[in-house]
Amino acid sequence: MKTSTKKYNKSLCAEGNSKELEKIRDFIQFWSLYFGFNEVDTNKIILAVDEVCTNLINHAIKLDKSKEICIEVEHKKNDFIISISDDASPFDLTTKNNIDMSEYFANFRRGGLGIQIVRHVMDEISYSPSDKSNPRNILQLRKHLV
Amino acid sequence: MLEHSKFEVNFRYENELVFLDIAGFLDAHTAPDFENALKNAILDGNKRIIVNFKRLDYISSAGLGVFMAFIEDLRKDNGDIKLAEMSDKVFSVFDLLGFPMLFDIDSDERISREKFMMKILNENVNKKI
Repeated sequence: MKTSTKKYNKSLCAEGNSKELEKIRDFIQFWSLYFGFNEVDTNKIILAVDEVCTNLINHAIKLDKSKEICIEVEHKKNDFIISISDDASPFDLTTKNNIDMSEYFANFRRGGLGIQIVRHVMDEISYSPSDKSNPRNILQLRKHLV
Repeated sequence: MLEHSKFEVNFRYENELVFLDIAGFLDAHTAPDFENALKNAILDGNKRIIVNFKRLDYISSAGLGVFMAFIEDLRKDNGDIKLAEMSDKVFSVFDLLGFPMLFDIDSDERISREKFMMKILNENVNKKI
């Protein structure tokens, strides 16, 4: 894996455009390695964040470049916590049912695998839709550093 | 070396097979390019396709989806897509959701080629019988 030499703040905002995924992956890679995850776990975390952001861009933001995704990382005890917030209509990825992959392949289905991947690679996922006190939707991913 | 975030696909043709060499990053941003390339290869009449992943650095579910878009129709037409020479990192994404159940994933494209050639040979023998 390419080791980034860039320095990052613990938060990053990106346009609601798939072109921004690269920037988001670089940011997560930097902090995941910094917090002590190995390359394999770092790749999993990068993938999970990519999947969440792709879903937000395609379904919540719907390619409206004026909307913004912000990502904040923090470290609490042994947990790496990634909070992904947006100012689009609420879109709760966590309510999606698990997919039966045998059925999925038997019927040659397509799409819908993002949340399945996130559930496989992260330890916890939670979602808070925007409300009067908080104008941004927040999806939080948590990975334990073993 | 490709610039970060770039994706590239190149074609090679050999007898009844087409090889797609993919390189770079296959995500939601670049998946439409790959989908178009694969679609054009199929529209040109190719139904036995080997995708070589040797130079692919990254794949997300958007990339996996491209393979799902074509596999059913290709198999109905007696064709297939075989995947070869993935890095451990890329293979782990396919493996995570069980894609090896649906696709042949070979360590070397020569194995994929051999499988196709055996199939073509069997088909030709059956035609003669």
